[in-house]
Amino acid sequence: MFKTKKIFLNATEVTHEELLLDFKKRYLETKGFVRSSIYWMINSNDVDDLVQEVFLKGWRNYKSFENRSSFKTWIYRISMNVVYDFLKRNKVVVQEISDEDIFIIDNNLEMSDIISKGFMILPVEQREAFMLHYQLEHTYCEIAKLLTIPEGTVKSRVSAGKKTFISFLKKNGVSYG
Amino acid sequence: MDENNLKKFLKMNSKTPQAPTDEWSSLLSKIENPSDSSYFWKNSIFQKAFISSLSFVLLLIIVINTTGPSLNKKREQRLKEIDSFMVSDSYFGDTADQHEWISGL
Repeated sequence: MFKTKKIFLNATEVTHEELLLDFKKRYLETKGFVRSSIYWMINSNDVDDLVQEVFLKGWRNYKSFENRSSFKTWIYRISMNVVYDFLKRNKVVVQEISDEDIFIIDNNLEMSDIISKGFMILPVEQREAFMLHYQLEHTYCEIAKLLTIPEGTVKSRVSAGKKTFISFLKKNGVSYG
Repeated sequence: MDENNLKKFLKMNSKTPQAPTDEWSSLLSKIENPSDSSYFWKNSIFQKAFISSLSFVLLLIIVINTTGPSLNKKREQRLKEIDSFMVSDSYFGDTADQHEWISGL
């Protein structure tokens, strides 16, 4: 992926404009990643608002960001906090799924809609790991760093998510590969 | 299922919606002109604090409204009792039997 710059502009030594310029640079580097992460977690039109909320929160706390982790990891954690709040607020947090959840959907839907629905039936933790690995093509090691969990946990979440997702595709008559 | 096949399949058949072209300028205007009121309503801590203080005030109003009149009633009743005690003739009232002999003098 990309590397964030090593030398952080110390908030006490830079002007507001310099800090803003630095933040803009990091925004440009990470906006695509943040946007995709949010979209594949919520699959809703609220993605624009949530992206704004993430970077606003990022900016408000930017002075306290001290490069202990990469900016990408830091902003990703903010993104997921915003996403989880959104899912709770809208009561769409899936804890466990049953076979009935893997329903047959409307035949007229486009493939991209079927895929989106496939993501949404996954429990959030599996969805997050599955999305990072298969949609955003991160390695298990990178995901473990992003989520601050052991690599083994990442693998088991990805594997469980994949199993459910493929089962969903099959039940909806989608084959690939 | 092959891992790369699934990645390829997802890449070919799914897309993330495009970001609005004015995303940064809109963000910048929010950074430069933070709307305190919108921040207040989006911040869950402020929301909770506001809701709990509002509930407390409502509870206070309800308690005052329900206990206030009954307290007044009790006070009025007590005053009436005192009045009636003050004006009642205890000499020829409750203790009249004890002092009957006076009339015989």
